[in-house]
Amino acid sequence: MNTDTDQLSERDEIEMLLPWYVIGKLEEADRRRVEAYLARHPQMRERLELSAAEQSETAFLAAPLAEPPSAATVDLFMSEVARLKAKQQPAGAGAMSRVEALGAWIEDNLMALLLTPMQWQWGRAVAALLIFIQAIAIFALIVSRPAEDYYPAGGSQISEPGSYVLVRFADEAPMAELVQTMNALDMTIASGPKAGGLFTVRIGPKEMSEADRNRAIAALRGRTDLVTFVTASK
Amino acid sequence: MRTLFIRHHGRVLGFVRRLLRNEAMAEEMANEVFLEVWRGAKSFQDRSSVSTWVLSIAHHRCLNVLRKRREASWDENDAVQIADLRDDPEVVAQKADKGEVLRKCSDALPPLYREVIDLVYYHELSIKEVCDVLGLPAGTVKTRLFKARKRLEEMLKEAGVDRGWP
Repeated sequence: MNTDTDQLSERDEIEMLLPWYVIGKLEEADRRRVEAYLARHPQMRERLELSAAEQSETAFLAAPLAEPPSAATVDLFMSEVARLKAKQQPAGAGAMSRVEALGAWIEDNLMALLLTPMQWQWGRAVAALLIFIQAIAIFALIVSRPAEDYYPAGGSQISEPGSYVLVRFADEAPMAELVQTMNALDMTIASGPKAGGLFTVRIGPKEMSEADRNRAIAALRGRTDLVTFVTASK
Repeated sequence: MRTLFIRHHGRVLGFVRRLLRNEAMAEEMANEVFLEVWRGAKSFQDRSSVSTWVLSIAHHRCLNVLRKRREASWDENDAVQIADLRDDPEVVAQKADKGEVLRKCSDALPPLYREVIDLVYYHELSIKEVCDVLGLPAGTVKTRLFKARKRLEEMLKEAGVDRGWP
């Protein structure tokens, strides 16, 4: 028994439940209790209306702050995860990277079709099935492909036209600054991390003159707070 | 992980923005929350939903930051002074719009109260889910929201809006 609510009147106890009644998240017994009280005390409906107004204004305040992440934000976060994964990987475990890349591709592309927050439990069951499919795919891959094949962390081979650079991000680069710069320079992480923590990054629009490309690379090189190495790639 | 990040990042960022009131810090914090999610994914238990678990990590991280910050302590008395609101010409001009005043007062609540109000009214979490996020018993959660709403009512009165409660 919690002492917080021991000394309260029935009215206060019902008042406490009203916000959850407004959002429809009360358990059945509490919901019936609130409705019985409202039927006996119609004046309490005014309190219900005040709570509904509070709910609506709070949503009005909070909703604009919850914007979805930009593609650059997602890329940067995933590159940070990849970097940490690479750090955790023991020396000599490089032979597994191709298998892991395929696993990441399956996770990111197939699970994206299936997972919502409310479907997590189902997702776990489906994940078990995918692991089985993945095992078959890995076996097929190992027996059918030459060892030199390269699969980037994002899961697809680089075949998109555009200008690519090899970049090493500074360990202490502030995420917000990095996202802003990547958006400004229209940068997308194409693959990585490779040996030495290098990422292949597409920079600028797909069609870009050499002069524009050099300017974009120079601008990126100028951000020594964000990158420690930049060189043109194929 | 990418899917989880895309689906939950917005609500986590909104949650930490409202608590920390520092844009750069909020974005860093949101990313740190997801890195902790990634590190702890294997230990995720079925006792809560993914969204509750992620918000719980965000809550504990913000709590640490706010406790360290002397200028905005995690204190229920730490609201923007009512006088500030009363003297705000914008509030005075918009007294006819109770919704606007309510939003200003809600925004001026101490973080402790702002958080529980957001979790219920915006994130629409049940009592049990709020308990999971805050790590508190149900009685304390209900009392905290009750006190938050009472404080909001007092601030509204100070700003010239009397809704007749308590």
